[in-house]
Amino acid sequence: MTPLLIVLLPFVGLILPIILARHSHTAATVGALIPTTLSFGLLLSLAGDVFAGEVFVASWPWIETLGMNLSFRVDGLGMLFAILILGIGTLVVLYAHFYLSDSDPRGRFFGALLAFMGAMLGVVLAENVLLLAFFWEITSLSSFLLIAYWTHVPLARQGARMALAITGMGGLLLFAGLLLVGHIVGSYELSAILANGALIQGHDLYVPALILVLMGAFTKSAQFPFHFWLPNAMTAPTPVSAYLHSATMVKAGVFLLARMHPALSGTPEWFFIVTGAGLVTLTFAAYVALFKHDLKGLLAYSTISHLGLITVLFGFGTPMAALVGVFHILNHAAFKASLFMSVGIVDHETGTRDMRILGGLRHAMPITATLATLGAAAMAGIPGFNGFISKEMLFYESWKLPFIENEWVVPVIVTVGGLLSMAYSVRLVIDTFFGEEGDTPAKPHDPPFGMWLPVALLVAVCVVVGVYPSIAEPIVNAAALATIGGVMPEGYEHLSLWHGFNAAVVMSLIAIFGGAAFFMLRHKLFALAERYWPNLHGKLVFEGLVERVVDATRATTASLENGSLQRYVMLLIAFVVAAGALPFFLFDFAPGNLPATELEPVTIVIFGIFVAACLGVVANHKRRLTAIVTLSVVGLVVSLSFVKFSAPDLALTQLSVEVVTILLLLLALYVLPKETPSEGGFSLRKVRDGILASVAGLGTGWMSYMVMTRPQDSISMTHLEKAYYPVGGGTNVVNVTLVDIRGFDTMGEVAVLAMAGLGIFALLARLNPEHIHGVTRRVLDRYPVMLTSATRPLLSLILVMAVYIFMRGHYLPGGGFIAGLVATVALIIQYMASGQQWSSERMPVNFRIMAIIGVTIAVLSGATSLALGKPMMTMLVPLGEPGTVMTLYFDLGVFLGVVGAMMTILTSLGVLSRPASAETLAHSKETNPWKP
Amino acid sequence: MTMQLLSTLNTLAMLTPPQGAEFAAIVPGMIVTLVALAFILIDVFHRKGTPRDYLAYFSVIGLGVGAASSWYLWDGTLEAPTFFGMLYLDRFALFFSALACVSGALAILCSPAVLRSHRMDRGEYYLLVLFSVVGMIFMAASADLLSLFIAFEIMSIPIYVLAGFLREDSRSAEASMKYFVLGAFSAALMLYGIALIYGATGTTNLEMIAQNLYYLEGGEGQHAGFGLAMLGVLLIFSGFAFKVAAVPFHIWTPDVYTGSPTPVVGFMATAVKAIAFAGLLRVFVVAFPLDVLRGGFFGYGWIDIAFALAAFSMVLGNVVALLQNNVKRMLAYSSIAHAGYLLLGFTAANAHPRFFLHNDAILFYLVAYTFGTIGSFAVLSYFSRRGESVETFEDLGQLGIKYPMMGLVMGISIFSAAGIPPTAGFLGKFYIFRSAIDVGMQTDEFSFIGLAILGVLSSVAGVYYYLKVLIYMYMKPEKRAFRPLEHTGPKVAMVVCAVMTLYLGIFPARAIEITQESIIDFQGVSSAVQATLDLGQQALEARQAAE
Repeated sequence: MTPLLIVLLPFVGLILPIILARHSHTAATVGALIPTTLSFGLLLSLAGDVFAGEVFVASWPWIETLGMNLSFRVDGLGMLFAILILGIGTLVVLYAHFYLSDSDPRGRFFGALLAFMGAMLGVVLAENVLLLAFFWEITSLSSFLLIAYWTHVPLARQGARMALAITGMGGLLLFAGLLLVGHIVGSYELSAILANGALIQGHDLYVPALILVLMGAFTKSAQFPFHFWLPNAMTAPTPVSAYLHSATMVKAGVFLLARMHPALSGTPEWFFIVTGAGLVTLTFAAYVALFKHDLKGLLAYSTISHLGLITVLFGFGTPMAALVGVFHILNHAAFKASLFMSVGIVDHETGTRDMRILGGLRHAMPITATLATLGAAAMAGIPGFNGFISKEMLFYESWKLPFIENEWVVPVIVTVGGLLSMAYSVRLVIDTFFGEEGDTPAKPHDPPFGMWLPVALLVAVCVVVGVYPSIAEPIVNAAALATIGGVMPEGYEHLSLWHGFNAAVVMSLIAIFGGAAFFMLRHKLFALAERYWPNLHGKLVFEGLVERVVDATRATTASLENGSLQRYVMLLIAFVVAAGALPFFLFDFAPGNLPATELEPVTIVIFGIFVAACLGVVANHKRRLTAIVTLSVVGLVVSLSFVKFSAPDLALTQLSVEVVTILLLLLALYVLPKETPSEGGFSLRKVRDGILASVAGLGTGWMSYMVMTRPQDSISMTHLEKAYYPVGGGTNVVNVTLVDIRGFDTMGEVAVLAMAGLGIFALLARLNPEHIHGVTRRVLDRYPVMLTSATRPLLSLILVMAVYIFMRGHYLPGGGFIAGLVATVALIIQYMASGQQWSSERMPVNFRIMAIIGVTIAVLSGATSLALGKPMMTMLVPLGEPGTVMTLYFDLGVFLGVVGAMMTILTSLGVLSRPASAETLAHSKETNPWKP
Repeated sequence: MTMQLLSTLNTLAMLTPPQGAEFAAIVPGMIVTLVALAFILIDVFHRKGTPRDYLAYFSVIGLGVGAASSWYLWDGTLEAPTFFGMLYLDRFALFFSALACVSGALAILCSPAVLRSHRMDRGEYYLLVLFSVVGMIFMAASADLLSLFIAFEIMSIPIYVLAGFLREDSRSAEASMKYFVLGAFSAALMLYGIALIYGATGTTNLEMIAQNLYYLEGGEGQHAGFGLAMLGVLLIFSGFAFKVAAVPFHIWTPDVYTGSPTPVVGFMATAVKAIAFAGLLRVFVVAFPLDVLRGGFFGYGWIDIAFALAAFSMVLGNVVALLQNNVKRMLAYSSIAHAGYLLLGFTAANAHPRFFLHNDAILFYLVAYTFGTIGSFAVLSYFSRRGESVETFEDLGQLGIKYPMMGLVMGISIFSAAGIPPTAGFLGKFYIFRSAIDVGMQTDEFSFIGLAILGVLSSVAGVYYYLKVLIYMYMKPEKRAFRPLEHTGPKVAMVVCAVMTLYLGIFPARAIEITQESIIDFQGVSSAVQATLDLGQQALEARQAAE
């Protein structure tokens, strides 16, 4: 339970400072201290056993199916980090209490700080690697909140976002990497992963997994080339920098290296990637640090450099190097946090961090100056401080490397790094505290006791460890043991100040004196740098990259999505053409081997009409009336082609639907302008569309041809023989389906149609065309005599035809539905030709009632079978020919329903075509272009 | 065995009248339909000039009953398709019925104040949502291409109307018009595909299509119908891809999302996408077995297409979302990216029959995505007063501080969308990426792992643009004051979404179990997949027995 509590306490406790911040600043600080110290206490209660070599693993199931358990592990490595997190955390809370100004919202600060603390604890104490990745992302997020704490500073927001983008990306990659590792091992628990190093390293996916994990580590620990976010994150308040950017968050990356060390290290890939990245970072960042005038900038680059140093050590892959790495983590945390806090004090008191302005502060701030000097000495690696010991051990280890031919390369590079480190440390102290007194914005003096106490405590650690290194032994040994995976390195006994005179001592001397000399030359160097410093900052590269991506996507978006519907439809059709081409290429283009049927003159004529009508629609698409009329020709030809292919029923349906649709379209024209606005003349777009349309059309045509020249099994005979006639008692498959087999559906459909008719009637009942925007009533025009006189005899003819189609429906093409549509056409033509008034006077039929009656008949005839004890819609009535009578009634219902509904719809819409009354016309303007 | 015989079987199956038990299959859909019909009646008696809030609540309750009925039917599923092979009654269908109902209810809750502020407080609005949900429910249950297509249109047409519901707003009208034209076009493509499939196989029943495809493949060499079937498959796929807004069928998304009423966008971004995925799964898994339709770049047939679409959607959606200034437009592009992640899961889980159980990742992701997305649209709805609605990032300035609750909900939703713990979105992404990696490892097809890594990388861009919302809400100065639409509805929706997002992120065990049960009960699959399902069933029972 204890590990869980250690991690959860800061999360739960973050509510305390938020609530208490309303009372007073002190209360908020106390509120933040309570969970921190409680958690710290719990941690320390385990410390003794852990130092003795025990590993606590505790697990609670959480999402078992995903392999994600709440399992924690307290071993030496986790303990070391947890102590750093909670110990320095406590000091930072104390320091922040004095550092924050009165206007800064403290609740938010401490809340985010505690969330961060809990997340960090989760990372270092996680046993389940997915849990580790989970907390890893939370550290990125909470650090975002902390870096952007001063929300009014735009730079803070930028820095925070960049930090989040880089570390968040790394976290996601790490996640993928850990998933891979977990899959290789078959478990996400660290115990299993650490025990299966050989399995992982032998797997095909080792390199991808390694690279993904390392991306996570490098981004978090600001290793080259991902280092640039760290200096930009320095816009954060100093306590945050001290905590996140020296002691904890950036250490998460190297923690990961240490954590995965037993499982992933020891291969050439690991050695070259990790050591390589570390060496570049170590020297490059140290060099840049020397040229930073901003104190925090200097410390930021120095942090990057030291993280590079630790990375180098873990990259070596040897047990001893890993031990040194762990040791340096501890040392660096101590001296860097103290330095950040000292710099914060300087900034707080003088109002500036620019070393060109600062100077001679030792008089005004003696305590700060002393503490900072001691911290810098540790950073420089002066004997007697902790930094010296770990650096010396690094120099020593750098000679004992695997996988490398020129054994002096690495020692030279690390010596250069040490030299530069010395140089910037000296610069930090001299330019700030010695020399002439600068003209600072504020009058400096030493801060209150509570502010320098944390610094003093950390510096004390630096000195004590530097003089008596064995005091840190239990914790370092325990952590190293976990990093190495079991056995302590050979030849190692104790951490000690003096290892005898060897190459490492020479290197240290070179570093110290060389660094001092380098410092002396700094002004010349600055001048040189001013002139030749390549203006290449990671931040600029990052921003340039982002900008490039943005530009590229903007261009892509603009070319794809210009808001034009034509463009969108073009893309869709283009896809269809591509998809349609695929089967052609996969199979073949050849037609089948059925002999072609003879080409009849009628077919040619009809085909000619069809093509002409299609072209006519395209040519006339701007004149809407003409286009619709031409379109109807296309529809008619299509129904004729159904006739040609022996589908009379389909042809009838198509014909009727075609007529009704065209009529509806014509009615809709009333509320639309006469012509489509012009889109200009010739354009490339039209050519493109033309080509695309031709390709699509020809492709479809060719496909049909290929199908028709191949043998095809017709299914209609099967339906007829096996099922329809015996069951439905009819020979017209379509009609039997409609009225019998799928009678239930038809009933529903007719009901829906009737409802739709009633709905449209209700909607349009109060429609007044004058209220429609842009529509004016038409002048009363005489109805064309030809049409009127032709339609009168047509009415009875078509109605008879409808009855005929209706009656024969069960055996031959026809049926209630088609007959209904045909009758509708007969009636509506009267409306078209003679006007609504004329027609409705002579046809006093309430079509709404007719629709309702139709539906009722259909339902009742379907329900009669219930009376005979059969399920509803069983049409079998034993009367000679099976089914005829009842289906006829049902079909009658369908017929009436269709006629009623369609007429209701059409006459409702037809209101639009009603001529205006004389008085309305008198008011309307004669210049109306709509006048027919 | 020939195709003719199969057709005959099909015919005979049709002639058997539905059994009483089969009516259970239409219960959720009927409940929502009846609610919609009752709604018409109630709306007729509505007193003019008074708010229609009670109608919204009535619809919400009706949808709640619909969702509850899915729960009630959970243990009574059937193995054979019902109603002449038209509908399945399985947990998969019930799961999506419930999801559609919940999504519809949440969207409706956000609506009344928005409608009133735009002077469009009409009953039709809720009616259209209800009917769309009906279509969705039947689509998830479809066992036949015909019932599927009809349900598809019942779902779509109300959404076209809803998109243009604020008809005085020209952008809304434009959105509706574009959505309708393109939607009708893609539906036509799909219908053409269905016709081709029918032409090639002689049936529209999903299971029989599969059988006939085997026949086509095996029979007399490669039958001419095989090429037709392939084109049909592609066209049907494009119809679904349009609805889920996957690249290159995404083009309508930004315009439509920007113009449509905000609650409608929440509805169509979640429910339509989810149901389209349900249909996609059902049709492709049941009707188009992969071992028949091979081909493609990696040789996986239509999986390859899904693969390519996933890759393009993830990258394009995320990268283009970076550029947007308009929040809804950003969410539109991000929904394209989400479609990409879902397609990634789809690709991985269906590449081989033995990974079929991995489809639960898609289901979980859809649940997480639904709550997360509606949460953010609920917040936006709260600020969509006529003439002063929050549109751009700058409009968000300081809203989080002035309205802490909205800020909190937006934050949770955004975290979920970006895949940041401890929200549901994080687990959803994790689940999907994990299944892709799992499949890649087990098949040694590293392309799946590559796709998963591409997904991870592209979601980094997601983190970047999602956080922009929070930065503006909390850190940027206020550019303009917005008066929120004070109303309880959106607040309730927000609370539900936020609580569910956190709940699913922290205690997902039960939800994951439900998604697994849904997948295990998936009906109509081939014997190879069925074997996987049986294994999953045993594992699930063993686990439940252990508890």
